[in-house]
Amino acid sequence: MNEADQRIEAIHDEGLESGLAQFDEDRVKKIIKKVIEEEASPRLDAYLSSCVHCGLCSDSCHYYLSRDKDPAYSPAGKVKESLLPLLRGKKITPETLKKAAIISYTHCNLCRRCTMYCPLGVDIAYLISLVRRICYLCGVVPLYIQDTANSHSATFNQMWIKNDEWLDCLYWQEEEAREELPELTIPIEREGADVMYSVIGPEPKFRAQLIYQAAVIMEKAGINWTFPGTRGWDNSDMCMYTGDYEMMGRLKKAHFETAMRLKVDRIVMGECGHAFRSVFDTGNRYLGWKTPPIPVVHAVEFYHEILTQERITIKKKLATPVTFHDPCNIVRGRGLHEMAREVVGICCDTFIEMEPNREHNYCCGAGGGVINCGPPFKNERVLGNRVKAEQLLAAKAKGAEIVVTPCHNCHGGLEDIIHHYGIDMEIKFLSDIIYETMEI
Amino acid sequence: MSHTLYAFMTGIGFQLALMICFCGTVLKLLLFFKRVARKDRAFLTFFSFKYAGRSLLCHLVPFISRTSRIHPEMTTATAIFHGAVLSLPLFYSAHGVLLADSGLPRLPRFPEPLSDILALAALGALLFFLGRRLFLRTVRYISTPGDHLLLFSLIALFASGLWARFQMPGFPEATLIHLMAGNLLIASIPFTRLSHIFYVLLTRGYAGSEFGGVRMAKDW
Repeated sequence: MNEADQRIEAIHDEGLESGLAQFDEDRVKKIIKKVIEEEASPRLDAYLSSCVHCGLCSDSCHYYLSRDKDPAYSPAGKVKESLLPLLRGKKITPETLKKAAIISYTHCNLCRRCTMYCPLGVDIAYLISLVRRICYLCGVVPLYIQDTANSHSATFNQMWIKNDEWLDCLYWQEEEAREELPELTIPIEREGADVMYSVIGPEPKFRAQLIYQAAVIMEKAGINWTFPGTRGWDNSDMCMYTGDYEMMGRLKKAHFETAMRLKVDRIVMGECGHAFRSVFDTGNRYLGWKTPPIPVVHAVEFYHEILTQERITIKKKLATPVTFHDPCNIVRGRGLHEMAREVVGICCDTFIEMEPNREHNYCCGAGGGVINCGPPFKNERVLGNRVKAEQLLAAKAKGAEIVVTPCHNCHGGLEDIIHHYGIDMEIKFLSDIIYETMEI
Repeated sequence: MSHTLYAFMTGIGFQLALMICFCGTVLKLLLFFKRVARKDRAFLTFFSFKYAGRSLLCHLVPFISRTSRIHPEMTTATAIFHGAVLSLPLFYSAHGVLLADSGLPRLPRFPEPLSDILALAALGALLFFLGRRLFLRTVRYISTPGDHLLLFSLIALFASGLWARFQMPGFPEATLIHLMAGNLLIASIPFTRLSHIFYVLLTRGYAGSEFGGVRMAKDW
């Protein structure tokens, strides 16, 4: 048994185990047949038929690079160990399914970097998503991420936040912000506003200061904006990552319908990558929309817009040298890397690039729902992204003291890497540095 | 016997191989688009000839994509092999004679030294691929018996072709091996990993369309 297999075998996750306790091979085979015959794109056959097993995708993967080029962590190796046994294996055992679930949910961030490195354009993230879909339908999903998905189902946000708690958080942040700007309001349910600002569940739960900062930025930029007061305020989506596409569709529908009910011109999303992927790219398609039914703008685009239009002014640039981590879902997912750099350039004196960067940047290791799979998989996630630590250390050696990244998951992933590898760097959102440097 | 086999391989056998290749490819593509229309309309919606072309170009021309730059030896071997395997069947002089005898229009022909160098370099590239399959841990891990069979078939094709070209001892048998390997490889294109010859237009093309048209990002 190789090292990767030993690590997989050592994993104990209640969600996986309880799902596997119900294991029925016939049922699993029926599910696989259904997914392949009714749901899977014919691209699946094209990918599997034409992959020439050249191994060129390997060097794109941070897990592979961080695990001393262990082939079990290469993108093609992960497909071999997760998808192929489900599709081509004569016998499917609980061990087969457990391995497929662990690899697909926790050894791949669906970052799409490997698609760029495969000369044939095989979309490994799509193949791994198919494995997740099968595992989800079999009820074999890591506990923590399934709990988050359950929260989405019950509350339409990912943090089990009740609606009165959401409103309470907004009132609380409004009161806090009025200490600084007495005229400031956090508008709720303002029909006909230009902008509906949507955030992810962790903002009211853990990072309420981001709501405060957003309100200050909106106020000073003179934006006619609103938060929704009902469900639909949370743009996040772990169901997209568990493979629960039905619930993903409901979440996005609620989000879009809330914006339509409020008659806003556009949705501005907070600094989150996966939510943007869901709203801009995946969830809308599930609902049959080629593009979202209402224009959707990520915070990076929005900040770029208000800074370049001089709707807010920067009082004094940040003197501390900063570097920038490109979040996969808004860089490989939307090409916002140059705008983000311009925003950083407007707010900071010294900018230091990490290498590689832009579309070629390494994932933080948290994306694709991997961080949401919780403590049983944290070790793998952090050790599986040593290359990111090396990137950060190289930037640190050039003088960078702050990592700016406009994505919640990236913050979580980078925090763990920074702590584990003992890198003395601070992590900030773009709104942190804008708020810190703007004229108030 | 060998004359009969030669006549078969250069006549009906060759035509059969082409027919299987052509019909198999058409069938595969028809099935692909039929299933796309039923299950993945997004493919048709998002496919963009502009971005597909851009992506294909950036991945086909050596040393543009980052992946080709970080593996210069693989890029060189791949470029040489593909250059040879796509051009020699049409432009090598002996092939030209056979094609002309089949009633096809006369095609330009490479000078003999160029064909020889190309074939030798391609054989070298194939041995390089074999070395990767056997000795590179990552490539060995994902290699299947089918991959080895395909590679050995290609090595047999080029080695026997060179053997016949230089008329080394036993070259009539080498010629037959060359013809057989060539016909089998042509016929197997739609049903093996060689299908990347046509699927690449769809897979790389679609990746390029998504990256360029939807995600506004480069994919090379």
